[in-house]
Amino acid sequence: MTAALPPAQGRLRSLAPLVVLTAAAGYFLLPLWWLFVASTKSRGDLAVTPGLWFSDLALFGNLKDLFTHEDGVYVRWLVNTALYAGLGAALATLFSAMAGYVFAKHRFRGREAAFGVVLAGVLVPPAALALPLFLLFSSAELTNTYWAVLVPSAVSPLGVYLARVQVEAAVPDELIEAARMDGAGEYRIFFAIVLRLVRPALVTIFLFQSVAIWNNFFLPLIMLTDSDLYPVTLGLFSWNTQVLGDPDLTRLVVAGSLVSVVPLALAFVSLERYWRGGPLAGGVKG
Amino acid sequence: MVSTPRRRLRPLIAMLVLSLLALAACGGGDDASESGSACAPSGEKVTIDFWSWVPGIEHAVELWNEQHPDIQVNLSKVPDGRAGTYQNYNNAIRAGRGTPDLGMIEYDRLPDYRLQNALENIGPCGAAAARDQFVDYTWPLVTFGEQDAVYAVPEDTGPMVLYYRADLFEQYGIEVPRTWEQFAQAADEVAARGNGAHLTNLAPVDFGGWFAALAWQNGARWFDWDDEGWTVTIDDEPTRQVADLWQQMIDNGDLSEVPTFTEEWNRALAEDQLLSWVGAAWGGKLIELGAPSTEGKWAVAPLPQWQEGAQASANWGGSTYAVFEGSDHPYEATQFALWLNTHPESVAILNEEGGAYPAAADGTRLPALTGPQPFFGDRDIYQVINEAAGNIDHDWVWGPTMSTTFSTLEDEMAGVLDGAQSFRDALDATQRETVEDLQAQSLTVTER
Amino acid sequence: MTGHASPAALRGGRRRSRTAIAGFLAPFALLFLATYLVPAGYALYKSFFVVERDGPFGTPHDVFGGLSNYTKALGDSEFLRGIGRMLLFGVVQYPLMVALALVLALLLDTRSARLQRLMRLIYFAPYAVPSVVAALMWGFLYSPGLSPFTEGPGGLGIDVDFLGTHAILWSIANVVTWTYCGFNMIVLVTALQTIDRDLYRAARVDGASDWQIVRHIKLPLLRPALVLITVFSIIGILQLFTEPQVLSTLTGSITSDYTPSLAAFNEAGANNYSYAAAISMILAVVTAVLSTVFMRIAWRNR
Repeated sequence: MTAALPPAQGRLRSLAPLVVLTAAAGYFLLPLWWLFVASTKSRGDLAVTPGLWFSDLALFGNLKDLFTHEDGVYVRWLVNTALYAGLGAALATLFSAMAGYVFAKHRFRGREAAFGVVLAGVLVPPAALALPLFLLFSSAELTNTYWAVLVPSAVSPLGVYLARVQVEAAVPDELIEAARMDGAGEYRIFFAIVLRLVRPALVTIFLFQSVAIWNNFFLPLIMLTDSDLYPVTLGLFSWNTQVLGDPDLTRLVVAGSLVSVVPLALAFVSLERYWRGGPLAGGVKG
Repeated sequence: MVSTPRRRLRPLIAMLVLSLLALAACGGGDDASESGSACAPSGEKVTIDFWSWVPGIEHAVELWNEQHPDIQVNLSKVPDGRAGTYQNYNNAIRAGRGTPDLGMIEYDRLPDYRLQNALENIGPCGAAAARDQFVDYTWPLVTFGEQDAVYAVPEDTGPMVLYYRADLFEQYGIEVPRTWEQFAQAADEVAARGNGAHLTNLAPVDFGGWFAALAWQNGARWFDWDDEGWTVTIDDEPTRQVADLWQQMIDNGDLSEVPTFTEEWNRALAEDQLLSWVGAAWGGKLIELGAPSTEGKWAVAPLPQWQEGAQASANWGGSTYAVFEGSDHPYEATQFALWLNTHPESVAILNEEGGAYPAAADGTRLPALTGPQPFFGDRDIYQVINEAAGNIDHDWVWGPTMSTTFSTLEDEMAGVLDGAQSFRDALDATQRETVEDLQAQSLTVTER
Repeated sequence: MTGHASPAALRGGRRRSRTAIAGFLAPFALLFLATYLVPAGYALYKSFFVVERDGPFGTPHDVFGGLSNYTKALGDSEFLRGIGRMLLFGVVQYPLMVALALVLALLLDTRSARLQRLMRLIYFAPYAVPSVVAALMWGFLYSPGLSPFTEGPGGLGIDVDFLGTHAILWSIANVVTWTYCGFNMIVLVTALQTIDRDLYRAARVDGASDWQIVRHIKLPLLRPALVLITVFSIIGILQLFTEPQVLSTLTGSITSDYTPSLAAFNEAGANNYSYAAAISMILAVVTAVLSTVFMRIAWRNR
């Protein structure tokens, strides 16, 4: 785009934005850099050596202790997290797509009212929902099981909204009509045509929901007591609350935090290439 | 958004109401069976659900499980009570199911659960007979002075002492303060050097329990109850005296505002910025691991006194194990709780790995708690702590809504440290809000 | 904010498609009912109750108390101050964050695909950092004695108490910005990518400058995405909870009722569930009103 400009001016013009972009990258990376540096330090060095630079290398000792503490429960937490965030988000994506498709392409009584209720679902703060959710799951004897986290994780009002917007934008009515003429059933239409056309939206919903599940340690906190069922966030949180009994846990919390960020970063990188021109592009319709 | 005729919403509303009714019905399960003679041993193999947040406790549980094949303990390592587990107890109590057989509760929270009638009286299960095995002053805190009743087994305690840097005291030319007046004077002297060092720190984080203990030392009594209801006197004269002293140090700029137990605190300790800490028995390990570079330089003295020559101390922190109402195996749970907190091997594990200073009377004989302590320059600090434990007033009573009391006090203290209000204002506000909260809980508050 | 009614709806096979509608909607609808509507309904229901005991030491149980929790909340100056604080927070933090996200998105839009991908990853990374970890990191960077910006080891010596009463709101704002800016930027970048590049070419032929293209083509087309971001932010800011909650272990400046959500959480924790529910309902209404008013305005001035 700058090709038409004289070279010198062009270089300057493209340099300034680059500086801004790099500075922003520094801002976003700074705390993560601290985390990396901190996880290489021994307990005593953590507080007294400069936070943004290394001191004696204790990284491997920290990692070894992290993976062996309490019989290696940390590994279990990682697996649980993958299960909650992976399976929960996959279900949420599928259910959102199905519901979003209905809201977009089928007319039924009370459709807009129901959709409004779905959107209003996010208005009540989670602090108020914790107790009733617990009571509900308790009466079904599902507290302290994988279900207690998976079931609420499979719901995403935002996902339904995004799916609806994207189906409206990307799936022409004529296509559905034509498929129906050819004798395709509703399920076939949905799975063979609609899902394929809204794939970028599905990746987005999946990604957002898995991050949401991953970040939400409040739900597992009230639902789970068996630490074998914890996701990694709750596990780290739990250790962090026990540092008064054993200050050495701080070391493990820091190393555990660093390790926990890695899988999600990998997931994001691997999904990134499927994720073009997302459904948010359409935004809110009038 | 689109407005829709109301009737279209009707099916939705009907469904909602139905499920609500179902939920409301399952919520009020507090008519639990009153099995009075529950303390009989069940005679068969049982499993006890057990919640605790003490690091390393799994090793004590393993030991018990090996030795007691018929009473297996199923441990859940849960987050610290105030960080979520207390709320989980509350939720489970409301749901009428899901409380463990045995759960960890700090002393100051016991009355809360007692008043929800959520605790089993384990006196008949063997706990009453075990009275002599525990440090004296813990007993009223787990029995509430009720006849023949015991509601929890004490795990650990926190007799308070003064941790101080022997080397720095010498360097600054400060005598170890025997009275609070001397303490305040020393704080002033250290601050006057202007080199950034302070005698000690004060911050509104983790402040409530600490301040309550200092009031306790001075003979304050924040709560009391009789058949009529509760009396609340958080702003009583002894408490005000404590507040005034710290107010004076705040006003003179004598205190560091570094929050205790944070990395920042560790650094201040390591960099010789803090000369002392008014702390509890379990705190030695925190200094040792937080500021390892200060090895050999610490010493311990009795808490400064309000009257020259007195020997009063107080208790900060500590936990108990309570059997929850509805447990099928209160007898076995009690047996385990007693073993856990009195058996030398178990007590040693809880001390070694969990930093617990034992509530068991014999706990003070643990090898780790006797003789010279290398980190403390080979001083026998536990002798001082032990004596402090013997000088704690037995009359202290915790209130039924301590979470509100402490959070109000801590909220108000932020304003005190900012100079927006006085410490006495903070006490008044805490008194007022505590009374209001008791009333909101439908507890009767009687005039003093 | 609804879509247009779809004309494709169902001429043939009405019954078959009805079953299909039900089948498609059922999983979401049932789960939504169980995890959102019923709990919210329960909270609303319980917000009209108060605690009562038989005698001074009886077991507590809930009895109907009318609007008393609501009148108490509306007369609670700390709660109202909390709402006010969130409004102030929103008025300052939200524009800054969106401006930053917008600038980054616009700058990235004209960069090479490789750089774009790298930067998107970096900017988005904080969103994936769990709040517990984020607080740990920022707590360190904020603590006066540890921070590399202030007087911590090897620090720059800037004299700001990030955790003091005056700065703390903006320190929280920084954590929120750090966490969500990348998310918002991604929303904007993806929106920009759907714009037909021919529009730019045509504008350039007409002699439009870069700035004019931004002003007259990109910004108007970003409007829907910006509206979406704003609604998210209104909800997110009014419900602000995790960041202050985790930072509160480091400073007394964050009181137990610093934000309305924090107040609800702490009241629930202190066994005052009904009062917590009433607070939450008031907060939900404020959120709904603000979001609706905003959307009305946003779509009227189109």
